Amino acid sequence: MSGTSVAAYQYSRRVRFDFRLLLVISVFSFAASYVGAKTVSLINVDTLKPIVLVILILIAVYTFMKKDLGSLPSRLLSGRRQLVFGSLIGLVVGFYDGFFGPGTGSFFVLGFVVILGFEFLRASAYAKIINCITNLSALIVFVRQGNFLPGLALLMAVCNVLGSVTGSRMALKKGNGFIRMVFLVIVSLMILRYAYDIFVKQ
Amino acid sequence: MNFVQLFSDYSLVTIVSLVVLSFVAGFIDAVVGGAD
Repeated sequence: MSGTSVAAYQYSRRVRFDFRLLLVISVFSFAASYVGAKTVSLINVDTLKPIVLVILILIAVYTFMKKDLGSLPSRLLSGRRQLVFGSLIGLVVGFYDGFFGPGTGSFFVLGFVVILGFEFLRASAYAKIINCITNLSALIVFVRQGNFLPGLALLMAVCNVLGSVTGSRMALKKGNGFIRMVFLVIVSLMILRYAYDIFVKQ
Repeated sequence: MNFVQLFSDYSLVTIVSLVVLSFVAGFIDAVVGGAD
């Protein structure tokens, strides 16, 4: 959360935000995340893991095959359509966030690139702001429940900020190609993690 | 909040692991927002 805030600030100096779009996506994502978290108790999460694994593999193959994906902005949608599709992305990914969690930011990035036509840099900046808002709500819940270790939290926050500053500086310096490469690595690691959960752990 | 007490509450391996993980999570999060 601390690192995400710093990264969001650094990106905001390079990326111009459409605050109306950002607000709409955040609201839908926040609400869907809450519903997703509530649904966890109703459905066995393990039964849906193979579906997520297949989706992740398709995402990895698609991103790998489309070398120019997110390297340039492709303004495919009008302002109103951006709001509609942005809301849908917020709903779907927000629900995933509450239900599963891992890789939410990556799904936001891909949704913004493929559906809204953003380049990777802009998509990553938007994902960070939304992540920050949803993390804040989680933090409030944890602190209110007393699940908070101040000393350890501060130490980890400092290291998180250092990692965040390093990452955002590299991303802003090296551009969309670098972000695409890291994105592929993260999706691949998530595929391995879900495959391990499904085929080895169970 | 006492940092010296951290080392009595947690092992050095735990603290170093958390420090490294926090840094890596921050890095990944900053680049693709994928750490979370």
